[in-house]
Amino acid sequence: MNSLTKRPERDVVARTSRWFRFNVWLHRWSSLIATPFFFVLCVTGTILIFHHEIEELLGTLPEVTIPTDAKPAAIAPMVAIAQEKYPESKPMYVFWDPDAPERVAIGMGPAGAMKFDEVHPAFFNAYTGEFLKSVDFSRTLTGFMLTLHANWFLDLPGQLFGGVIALLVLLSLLSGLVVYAPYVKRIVFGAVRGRPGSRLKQLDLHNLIGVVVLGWAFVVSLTGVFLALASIAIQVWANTELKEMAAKTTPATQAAASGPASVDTVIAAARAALPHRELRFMTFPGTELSGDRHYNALLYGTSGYDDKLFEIVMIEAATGTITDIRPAPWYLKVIMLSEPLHFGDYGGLPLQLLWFACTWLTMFIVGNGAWLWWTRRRTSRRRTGALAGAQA
Amino acid sequence: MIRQSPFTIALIFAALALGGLVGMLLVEGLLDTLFLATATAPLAIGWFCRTRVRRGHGRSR
Repeated sequence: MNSLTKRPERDVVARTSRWFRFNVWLHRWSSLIATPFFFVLCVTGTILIFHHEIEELLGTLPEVTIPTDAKPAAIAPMVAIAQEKYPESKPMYVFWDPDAPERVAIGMGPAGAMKFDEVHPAFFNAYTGEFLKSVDFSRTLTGFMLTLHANWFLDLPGQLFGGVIALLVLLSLLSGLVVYAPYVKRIVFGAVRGRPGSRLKQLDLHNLIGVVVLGWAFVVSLTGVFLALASIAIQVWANTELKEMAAKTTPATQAAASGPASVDTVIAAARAALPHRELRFMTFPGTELSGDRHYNALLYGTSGYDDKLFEIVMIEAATGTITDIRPAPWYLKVIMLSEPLHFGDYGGLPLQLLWFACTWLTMFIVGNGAWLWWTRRRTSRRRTGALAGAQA
Repeated sequence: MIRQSPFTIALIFAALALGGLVGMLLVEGLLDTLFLATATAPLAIGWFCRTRVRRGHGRSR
C-alpha cells in the first residue's frame, strides 16, 4: 500500500458491487448520449449569460433619453401608434422592464393569433410616449441563441428534448457521485497524478473539476428540467385556474358595460388592487392567457425572491373592474424561481463570471470524460486482440 | 493538509455551491456578497487543494 492508498479491502468490495457497476454504466451512457447536445447548450448558454451586454453592444435595444420632469406617459396612445404602424397586427401585451424603466414594449402579433410565438415588441419612451423602434428577436444573435438553447427551433418537442438532455446530465451527476466515492477515498483530495496528457492525469482532473462544479451543475440541470416543462405548465394554468377566474364574470356586469374600458383605466385598476407590487406584464384580451373578455396583469414583488414571483389580477375588458386576484400556482412559482437559477442573471457581473467559469469547466469534464471512455475502449480492444493472437 | 474524508469534502463543496446560489436568490443586500462567496468557494478551495498537492503538502495521508 503506498502513501495514497487507504482501506483497499473495503474499496474492492465497493467497486465490485452491483450498485456501483450500475452507476458506472449509468454515468458512462447518460453522459455520452448527452455530450454533443450538452456542448451546444453550453456554448449557447455562455452567450446568453451576457445577453444584456451583447444586446447593448450591438444596439439591439433602443437608447432612451429621460426628460428632466420625467413622469410615466399614458399607454393608450402608444398602443394606438403601434396599431397605426402595424395595421395587420394586434396588441397582445405591454411589458415594463424593471431593469430599463425608461422603455415600454407593446407586443404586436398577427391579427388572429392567440399564442405569443410570433409577437414582436414595439418599444416606446416610457416618459414621452415616443415610438423608438420595433425589434424582431428571431433575427437577432441573442434571439437565435435563445431559441436554439430553449427549443432547438422545434417548439414544444424541442423544449421537451432539452428537458431530456438536462435529465440525462442530472443522472450523470448523481451516478458520477456514487462512482466518485470509492475513488476519492483512495487518494488525497485534490491530487492530480500522472504525466501531462496521461490517462491518469485526465481521470484525476475529471474527478476534481467534476466535484468542484457539482453543486452548480446540479442547480443548472435541475432548473433546466423544470424550464423545459414551462410551456406545458402555462397551458395547464390557462386551462384550469385562468378559466375558473374568467368564469367569475357575470352576464349582468357585461350587459351593464357602456363600452370597452381604456387600457390606462385597466392599468390603474390593476395597480390599485395590489399597491405594494409592481406591474410588469399585462396581456390584452384575445390571447391564450386572457381569453376574449379580460386583461391579465402580472404584478411582481419588489424585494428578495418575491421579485421573481407574480400575482395575477384579472380585469374585465368591458368595465375595467377586477374579476379576480390570485397568486401564481406552485408549479409556476417553481418555474419562475428556476429561471434566474438557470441563467445566473440575479447577481450582477460576479455571478455572470462564476456562471461562465463553471460552464466552461463543465464542458471540459464532459469532453475529457468522452476522451477517457474512448481511450479505455481502444486499450481494451488492443488487449483483447493481443490475447486472441496469443491463444491462436 | 486536508484531514477530512475526501468524500465529505466533496459533499460540502456541492452543499456550499447549492446553498450559496439559492441563498443569493432568496435574500438581497449585504448577504448577497456572502452567498456569492459561498457559491464561489468550491472553485477557490478546489484550486487551493490542487496547488497544495502539487507542492507536496497533501501527500502525508
